[in-house]
Amino acid sequence: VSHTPKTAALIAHAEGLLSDAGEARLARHLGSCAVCREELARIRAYEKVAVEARAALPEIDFAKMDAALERESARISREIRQKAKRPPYGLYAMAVAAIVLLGLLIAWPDSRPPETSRREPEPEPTVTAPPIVFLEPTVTLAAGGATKAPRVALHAGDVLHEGDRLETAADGVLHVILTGETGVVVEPDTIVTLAQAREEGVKLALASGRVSSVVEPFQRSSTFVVLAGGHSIEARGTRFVVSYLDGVVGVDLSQGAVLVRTPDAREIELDAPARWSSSGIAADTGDEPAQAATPRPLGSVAVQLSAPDVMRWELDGTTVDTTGVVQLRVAPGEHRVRAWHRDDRVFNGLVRAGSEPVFLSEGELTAEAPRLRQGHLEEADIQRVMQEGRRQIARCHERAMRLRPDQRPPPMRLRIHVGLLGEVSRVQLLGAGDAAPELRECIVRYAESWTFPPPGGSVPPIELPLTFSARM
Amino acid sequence: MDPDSALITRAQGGDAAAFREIFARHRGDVSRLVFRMIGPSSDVEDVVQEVFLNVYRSLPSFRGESKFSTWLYRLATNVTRMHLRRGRSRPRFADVEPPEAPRDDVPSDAPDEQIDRKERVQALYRLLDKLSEKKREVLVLHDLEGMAAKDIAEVAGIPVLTVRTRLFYARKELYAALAEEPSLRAVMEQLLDELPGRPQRARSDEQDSEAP
Repeated sequence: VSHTPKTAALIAHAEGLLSDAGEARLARHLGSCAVCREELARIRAYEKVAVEARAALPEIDFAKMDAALERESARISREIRQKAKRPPYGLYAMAVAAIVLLGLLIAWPDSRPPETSRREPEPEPTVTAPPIVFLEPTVTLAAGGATKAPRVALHAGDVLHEGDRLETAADGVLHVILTGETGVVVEPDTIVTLAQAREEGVKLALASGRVSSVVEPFQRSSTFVVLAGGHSIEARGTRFVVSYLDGVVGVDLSQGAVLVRTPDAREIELDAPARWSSSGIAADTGDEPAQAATPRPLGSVAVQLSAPDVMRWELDGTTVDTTGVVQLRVAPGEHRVRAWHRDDRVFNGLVRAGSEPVFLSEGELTAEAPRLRQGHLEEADIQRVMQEGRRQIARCHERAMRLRPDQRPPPMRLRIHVGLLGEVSRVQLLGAGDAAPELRECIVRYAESWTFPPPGGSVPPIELPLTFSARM
Repeated sequence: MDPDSALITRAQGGDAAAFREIFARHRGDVSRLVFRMIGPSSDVEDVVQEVFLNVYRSLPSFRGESKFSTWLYRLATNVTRMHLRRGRSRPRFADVEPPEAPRDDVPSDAPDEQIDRKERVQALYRLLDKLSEKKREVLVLHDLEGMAAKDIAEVAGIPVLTVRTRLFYARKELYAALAEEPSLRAVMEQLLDELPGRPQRARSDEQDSEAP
């Protein structure tokens, strides 16, 4: 005999809404009704997973929205204020229209009786949706410690996405091409978020450190903005460096022009060559900034730098990211130059600027010693971590076998890269292509949580061969 | 009195700082709602930004006849609905992972349990995606957002009774589809075992189902 489960009563029971008598009746019924028992199990299963879904909250980087919302609120506020200043012609027009309409209604022979007046509903909000075209920022160079959160090591060729938080260690540097001729260099000890990477505009939120940018207009209406310490530095067709160190925002401009917006809504236009710093500005107080809007020229001697496969140049703290020829104007005197080669090597050079233009080429550069020290891990320490790790991997295997009893995992190798502080910086599972995705993910997740003693420098990756029996 | 009314008045008077404050005050609620409506998708941030751009544009015409939070939720559901309709850009569960729960305030458990939970949440969103737009909206607002039926009625512009009817049928559809998802079926079977009155299974069955 088919029986339709008493879903409504079961929901009421699950929500504790039944009376004592109702509970007693339902309990008796459940004792003998497998269909309703199963329905109750479904209801409870749904409730359990709904609780888990409620706990899963989005991680949103609201800073990414700041510029667009600021622009829109400024525009709307301006419109509102302008409207408030205008004489109320609209009221006159409405009064005239009302008189004309009244006249028409009186004169109209078959006019219908007026409807009972009712309150107009709140107007529906306007909804517009412009298309969004995302860029594909690509890493062209990652040297030393360069990661994206959470601790994912970056390599040349990696594609980044909007919202990625990039971090470089004291010895790290990261080059990212955004589109065509537009790119950024994330310098050592820097934390920056790729807040927006769209055709309409690029936005970097600099939390600390230095970011060098080479910006070519990639679309007429596009913008390139660096946000740092409440300042917004907007550029078009520009080479510039923004730093945010110890609460001070600095801009070094070697080509083009930028517009700096301060937290107290000042706008400062800088033309290259120029330097600007926020030091001395008391945000939100209305105080006059000390020496603000007075760009200090770097100098008047033209310097030209060029060398094959050099991707980044640094002169007197001004960094330029390019594979082409760099032209700068500097003050007379000696200037130290550093050059970053495509294969991670760093070179040093010296520019002596007099009254004539200076050309520095490949032959005048000397290679710098590698910056990474060799580290060491004791075998006993590795074995201690691995011993616990093997137990965790066995648990992953047991679980995978429960889900897919017929699928025996292939032999594979677990390769672990250990960072300077002993953390696992990267995990690779080699030969695991045919293994169940749950097994792979479980092993990688456990391995990422392992910690070794700090090796004090770079160490070769550790490899662990994994062979699984049919039953563990 | 609406706690936002002073802020709204300032924004309607052209005070840009008031717009910023509205964003800061309500962005958490809006992002949570959008996330739960469209699922764990990389589009959440775009939709949230779109919501606030529309809030800013529509604020001058807000007359305060409903609570601001209700008006905001209505706008957020409208924007989200448009996003879902546009090119049928429904959540892409294959390549997007939900954020991990529990968060900082709850001790995290073993990675295999985290993976199981993540899979269950993804499975739930897959089932939600099969519901009609109207049912999904009501179910998300009620069961995930914890809104009362009368508030949902105001947000969705429908009678309370319709909210309750949609909610009931949405849940019923979900219960029926639960077994399609292995991870949810496993939870269901475990709970079924715990209910009184279940006939004992044969010994050989139990042995088969044991972990290897």
